[in-house]
Amino acid sequence: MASTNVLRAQPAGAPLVEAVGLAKHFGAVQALRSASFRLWPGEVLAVLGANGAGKSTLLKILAGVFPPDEGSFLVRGQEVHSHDVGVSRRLGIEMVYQDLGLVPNMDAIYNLFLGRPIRKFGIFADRKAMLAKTNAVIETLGVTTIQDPTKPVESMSGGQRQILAIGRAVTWGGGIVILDEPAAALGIAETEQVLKVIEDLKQKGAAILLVSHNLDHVFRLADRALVMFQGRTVADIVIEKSNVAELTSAITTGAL
Amino acid sequence: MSIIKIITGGSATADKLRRDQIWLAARDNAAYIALALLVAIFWTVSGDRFMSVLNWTYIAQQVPVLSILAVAETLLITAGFIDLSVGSVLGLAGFAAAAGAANYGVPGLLGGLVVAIAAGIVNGAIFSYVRIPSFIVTLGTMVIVRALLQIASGGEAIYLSDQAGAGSVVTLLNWLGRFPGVLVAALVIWAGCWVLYNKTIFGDDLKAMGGSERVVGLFGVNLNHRRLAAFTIAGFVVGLASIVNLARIGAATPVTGSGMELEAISAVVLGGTPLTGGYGSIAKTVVGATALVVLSNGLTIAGVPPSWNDVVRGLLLIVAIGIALDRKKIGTVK
Repeated sequence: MASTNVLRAQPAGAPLVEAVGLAKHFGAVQALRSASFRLWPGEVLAVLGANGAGKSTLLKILAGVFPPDEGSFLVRGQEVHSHDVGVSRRLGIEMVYQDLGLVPNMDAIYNLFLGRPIRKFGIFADRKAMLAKTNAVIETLGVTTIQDPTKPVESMSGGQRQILAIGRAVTWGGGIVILDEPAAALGIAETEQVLKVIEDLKQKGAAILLVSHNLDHVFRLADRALVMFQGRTVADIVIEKSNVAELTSAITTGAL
Repeated sequence: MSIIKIITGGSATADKLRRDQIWLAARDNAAYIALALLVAIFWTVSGDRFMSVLNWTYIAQQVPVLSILAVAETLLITAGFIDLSVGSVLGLAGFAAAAGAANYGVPGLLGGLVVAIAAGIVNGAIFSYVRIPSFIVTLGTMVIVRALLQIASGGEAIYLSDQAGAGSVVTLLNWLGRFPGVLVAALVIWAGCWVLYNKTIFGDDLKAMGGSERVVGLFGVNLNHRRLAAFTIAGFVVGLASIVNLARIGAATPVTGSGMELEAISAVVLGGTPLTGGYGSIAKTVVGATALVVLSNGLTIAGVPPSWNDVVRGLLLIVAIGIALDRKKIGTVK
């Protein structure tokens, strides 16, 4: 079935990320059978598929959460051999998890610098420097809704949290950002704000992998759509030349 | 008509908001309020027998050991861990310090630190690398360490004043065991732990691990390192407490520290740190420990028999938690 991959799009230049035949099982469950795709700088690749199609598994392999059983992926032409969140980050891959990956009882500053705080004398947290950087990040994102970055994240709204999570990925990301359902469970105004942040990010040349069940968002943001079905990538569709009916059919039947 | 409704509705909301804020402030400061109430009650009941310089000097001498243990426990509970072995370790480390001091003088006191740090490393290593809940690991080591103390001591106490040639140790411990020395030592240890808790990246990570350990690990913080370090540092602090305790009592006995783990945990919880972790306060833990000492001291002075003393302490703990617990933050109560 991997041969049914329809690669209609081939932007110029070398791809930033290339995945070939990635597979992963958990116990008796084959979560991912064969996933292949290419991602170029400055484009948004939507990853579509029904629940259980293997989207999250694919993204987590790229983010280094766990290694693939088979297959390989290359970043800037270099094959990635060790699979670890730290390694993926050093390669410039940042993931915004579906549950956002924020520590609820800690403030925006801690969450923004989670795992890579600014240190003072080796062991102390340089709060002043981190607060300044946090304010700068909030300003670049063009959001004024996060007023007090020293308040616990759990006291923020869903949209504020989402923007903080995306802001963290943008701040640290070396050009590759993975977004897992960034607008799920958000209100209309908040969704709009998040979509704008993603558009900005694309304008700045980031390569974005976007998982979304919302085809409106896909048509607005994405350049191409990677359709997954039962653990395989079955189609790579140029959004401009496609329509809702074609995408829906590909998602539900696994064929074009 | 509608305007009137809006106005009255608005003021009722404002009233409720104000009540909520007062309740919140009361809950956040439960330890201070408990301490103030206890002092007021015992002052009223016992008058000058309670409110005397002599009695408060006595309280100031009682607070340090319990509060230092409770501060060590705060570091762990904040991350969602617990250590039930601190009482036993206090005993064994105190014995090692006494034996060391008897043989080697002042440097021998370090034996207590070595034993307590080793106990912390063992607790932390089993918890981190074998992945057994800290409650179970330290329940086991609580029993084992107490038994080791029985074996090592042969059931006999070591009295430091008996030891010949231990002059400088006795001088040091005499200073450390009495007011104001004991309080100075405690202040230094509290301050050190406060800085660790509030100003370091390690302290932040402990609080974050109490909130969501999974996320902290996902973003590249080495969880096993943090777990092991937390128990090792707590062990070190318990070791310091054991030396202060040795100085207080002037002897190391096989029952030293028995039951103190529960008192220490009570002080932490009275200080507003939830057992699920996520946040907490070193200062409030010290206040919580002080409240427990004042309670026990006040009940004794008021002539309440020791058994009833314990009943009241248990009741105070339940009532205090009933008020201080933020049920919204911890989700389910279990």
